Amino acid sequence: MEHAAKPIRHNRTITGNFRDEATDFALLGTTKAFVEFVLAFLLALGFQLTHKASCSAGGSLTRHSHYARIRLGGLTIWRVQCTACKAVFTVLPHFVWRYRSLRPEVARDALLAPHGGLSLELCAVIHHRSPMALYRLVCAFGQQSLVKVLTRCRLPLPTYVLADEKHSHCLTEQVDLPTIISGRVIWHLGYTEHASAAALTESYGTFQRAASQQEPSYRVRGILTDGFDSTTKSLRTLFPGARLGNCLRHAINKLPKPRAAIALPVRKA
Amino acid sequence: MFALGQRLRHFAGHVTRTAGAVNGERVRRWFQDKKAGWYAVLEDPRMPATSTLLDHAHHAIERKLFMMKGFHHPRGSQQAFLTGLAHLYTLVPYQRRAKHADQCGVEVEGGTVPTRDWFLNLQLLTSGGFR
Repeated sequence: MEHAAKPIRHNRTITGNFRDEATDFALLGTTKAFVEFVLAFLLALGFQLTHKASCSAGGSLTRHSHYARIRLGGLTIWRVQCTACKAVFTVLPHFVWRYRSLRPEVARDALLAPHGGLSLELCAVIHHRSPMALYRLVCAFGQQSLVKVLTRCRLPLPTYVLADEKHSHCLTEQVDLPTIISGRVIWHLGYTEHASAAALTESYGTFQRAASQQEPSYRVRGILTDGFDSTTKSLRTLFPGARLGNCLRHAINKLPKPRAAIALPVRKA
Repeated sequence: MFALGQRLRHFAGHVTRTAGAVNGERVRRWFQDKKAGWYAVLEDPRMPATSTLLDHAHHAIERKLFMMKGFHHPRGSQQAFLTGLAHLYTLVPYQRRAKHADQCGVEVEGGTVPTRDWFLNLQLLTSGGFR
């Protein structure tokens, strides 16, 4: 028996900054005030909503259905809908996570601890959370691509980048993490099990496609690598017009050792 | 490290000034023929000269992965986890004694974040409902 293809459900969750829980509870009682607050928040933020492709952007937002989160003491979560494309957006208060009952302040401390150098195991002991819960939390952040998040921060797509792979281990496997950075910002962090040109092309291609989606005319002008053959080949394939440079610090490693000083008597002789 | 790039660039300029444009061009061509990658760095001043900042990022990510110890989930999405770590690397502000104290990587590079609270920023920026 053939099944019809299941339509993809887009994540259209919006996190709203309601300052505190009391404001959120007060707003939930008044439909008009709630929608106005959401609109004001979106305007202040300056972000666009992910409407459906067919949306002409002429619609307005209206209050849609709601549901109660039993695990959060029956907290009501409201949805808003675009009147033009009928896309429905779930508005989560900032103190509520999507599919999680974890309190944000606990998550904040638990995430800062490994950032400061504590292992997941230890910070799980301190904050009474399982390491797997933290792992899943980090994975949840990772559902959004780096290019999307960074362009939301009004960063222009980088024209000069550094690209290299980090050899690492995952369980017993040796893996490579192809990375693209510009300044102090990571624009791509991939995961491949092979360091071949094809595998790296696939990984770096993710960045290239994401960037082209954001800005179709996007071109990289210069890329600095350590001269690794597979990296160079893959970048040449993906960014044909870009100038490829070699890191000068790696170049120093290739320079011959300085010549030993010639003793004065020898020179005189 | 940076001195090498500057010195090679200055060397080519020095040859141009003292021995004429033809000889300067010869030196530049020698760079180009011998080490096209180095030449690319020297030719364009906007091109980064060393991969130091990339190494910083790699070390930071590697430290976190090492701390994971046995917590790699065999059926988990390693790609999503790495992307999540990259978000944290970019959005968590630097410590108060750092050069760019209380600023995150995005702010240092000229971007803007919605609020002063890094964790709220992380929540807002990784929300799926925004384009």
